[in-house]
Amino acid sequence: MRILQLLAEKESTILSAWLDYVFSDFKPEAVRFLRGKDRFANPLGQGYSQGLQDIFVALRSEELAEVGAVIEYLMKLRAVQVELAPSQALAFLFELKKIIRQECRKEWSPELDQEWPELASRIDRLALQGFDHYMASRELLYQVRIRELKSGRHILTDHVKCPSALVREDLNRQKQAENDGQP
Amino acid sequence: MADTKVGPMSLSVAKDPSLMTGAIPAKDWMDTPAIFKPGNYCYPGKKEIAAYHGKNLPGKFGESRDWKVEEDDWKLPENWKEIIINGIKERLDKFRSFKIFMDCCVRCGACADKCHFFLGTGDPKNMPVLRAELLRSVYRNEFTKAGKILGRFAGAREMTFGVLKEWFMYFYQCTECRRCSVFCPYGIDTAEITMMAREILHLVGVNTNWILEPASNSNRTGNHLGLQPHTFKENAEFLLDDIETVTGVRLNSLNFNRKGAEILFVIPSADVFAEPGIFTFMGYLLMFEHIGLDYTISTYSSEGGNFGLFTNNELMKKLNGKIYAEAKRLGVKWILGGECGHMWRVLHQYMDTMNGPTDFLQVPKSPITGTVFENAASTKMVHISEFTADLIKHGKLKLDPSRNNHRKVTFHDSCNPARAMGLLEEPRYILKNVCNNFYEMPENTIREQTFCCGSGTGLNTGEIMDLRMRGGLPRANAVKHVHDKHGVNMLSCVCAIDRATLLSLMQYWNPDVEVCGISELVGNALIMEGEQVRETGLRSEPLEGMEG
Repeated sequence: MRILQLLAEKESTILSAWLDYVFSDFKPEAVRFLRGKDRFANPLGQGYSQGLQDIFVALRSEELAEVGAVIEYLMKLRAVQVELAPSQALAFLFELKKIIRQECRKEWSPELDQEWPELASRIDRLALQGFDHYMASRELLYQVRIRELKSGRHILTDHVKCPSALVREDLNRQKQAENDGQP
Repeated sequence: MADTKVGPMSLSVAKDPSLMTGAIPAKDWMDTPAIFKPGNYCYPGKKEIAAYHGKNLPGKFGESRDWKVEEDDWKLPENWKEIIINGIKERLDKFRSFKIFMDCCVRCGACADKCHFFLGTGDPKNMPVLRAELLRSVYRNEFTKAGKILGRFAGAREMTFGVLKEWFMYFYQCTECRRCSVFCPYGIDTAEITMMAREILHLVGVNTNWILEPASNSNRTGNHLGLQPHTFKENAEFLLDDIETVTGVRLNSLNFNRKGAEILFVIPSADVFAEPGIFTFMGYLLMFEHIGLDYTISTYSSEGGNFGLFTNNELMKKLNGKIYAEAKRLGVKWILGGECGHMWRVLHQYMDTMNGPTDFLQVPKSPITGTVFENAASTKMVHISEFTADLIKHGKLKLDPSRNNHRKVTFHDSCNPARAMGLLEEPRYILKNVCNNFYEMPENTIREQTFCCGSGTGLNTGEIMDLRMRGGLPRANAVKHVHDKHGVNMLSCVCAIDRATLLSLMQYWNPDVEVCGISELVGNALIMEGEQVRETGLRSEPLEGMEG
């Protein structure tokens, strides 16, 4: 498809605009650091920039490659950004359509209009995948929380007697001894 | 997740998605208010628990009351500003370091991108320099001429309720891990700034329950969970059954409150009741039996952790005092400490000043190797990793590292042992001797530069799980790297809070990676006298070749 070729040509400008859009969630003082290149010193910024790139490369390939793991990771990042409503967390995937149209406006031709619905539908599929992963991440977060609440407690509840049970046992023993002592 | 208001949200979505996320105004930080939402703040202290602390340490915990973080009325005392300003003054006079840290920052920005909370949240107020500035701005306004005259131009501002909210938000998004301090050219200990801020917040009763409750339990029964002596003892003894199942050996040496023992062993209490700490505890016990150590555990000093550190120095001192008190009562020669994190900050940096000198104890000397631990000559307290590494160095442990072949291990330098006491080599030396597959994480994420678990200093509570996952992202990201590259499936560490919280962090970010203490791996590798063929590790997982 001609449109995929165009995406390949415009990759760097589209990606840059897309990343700017994602970083616009953050305050300007932070964005400077989010652009850092060291993936260990800047896991959030690099996580986004690598993730968007991987998705974009998949999108502009002849066959839409499997990027479930990439979307999953991005959605894990989004799902814990408490300041974002779910719609905001997912908006960047839909926004890609607008960014592509904007960045390719000079090169746009009627031929591309015909190809556009197919590409738009690809993006929609990615966004729907994003929705699944966002929900799964929120679910996972609560599961982790529940596991933490449960861990450790079972030993107290299942294996060890509580003080009142011990007192009760003592009393029973005393009672038993008294009973045994009786002729 | 944000508190979704369906009406406004659908409107904004309908209008233009780009407005939703691009609408954050670029305001000055002083004009950006702290907004509390579920997931980004800890629940406040329960009234009765705050009252309990207030009764024990009058004036240090403010008025006890029920209050809600998201409400606009925190039910503060009328003169709360005065209490805060006086609190700052008192601490400036008392702690010279605090005064210096308030004055000497030149805002060079070296620390700005070193905090895991900043790196995980992207919130500028989590830059250590800016977080400290939240307090410094008030300090300048009240205590410096420039601040009094020039006000905002000199970076000064009045103490307001908005500032108080900021303090509560951001001084509880700092785990006092001190990574930023490593990069500060002036050596400003930002952790101590957070400690001061939290002390001051407690003066007006602005507190969190996750800190106050364990601290009150510790004060009453000796440990965070409030386990009473018999329960603590039974929990620990219960683990002997598991050890016997795995090794075929019934250990005889576990004992409690025994007067005349040579060594008092102090652990984080989570090691006797919570997974995976209990496996670490089994490792300790196996090693002590292996070398025939003359030790005892106190059921009164049954907590190495000290949540007092996260409230004020008075409570920290009080909770810490029980360790020396028990050492004295039991008549031991020296103290051995387990795998705990902030416990070692308190022990290494404050204990001697707060509760020393310990003329009733001796300079620690290993009864097995004869090594004298000169580094602990003053506190008389040795870290289990130092002790174990010394045993291995002298060939006193019979080890079969292949029993950990099912583990591909990496090591997380727990912040406090690494940065507050310099414990960097010993755990690695042990790991290299007890397992065959050890892989380091990237250089700028380990040793002095280690990234925090994101849940220390009493932030290991469930209601801020979102925030914890963000604060722990830099650590999780480095683990992901060694997992992808080397197939690492075990994250080892020497801290009880790490063991609990890294597990949650891994479950979210790297579900294939488990978490353990170093001593668990030691326990797996130890060849015990009279043992059966080991088919499983201490957590009953099959060893390599025993999977069938």
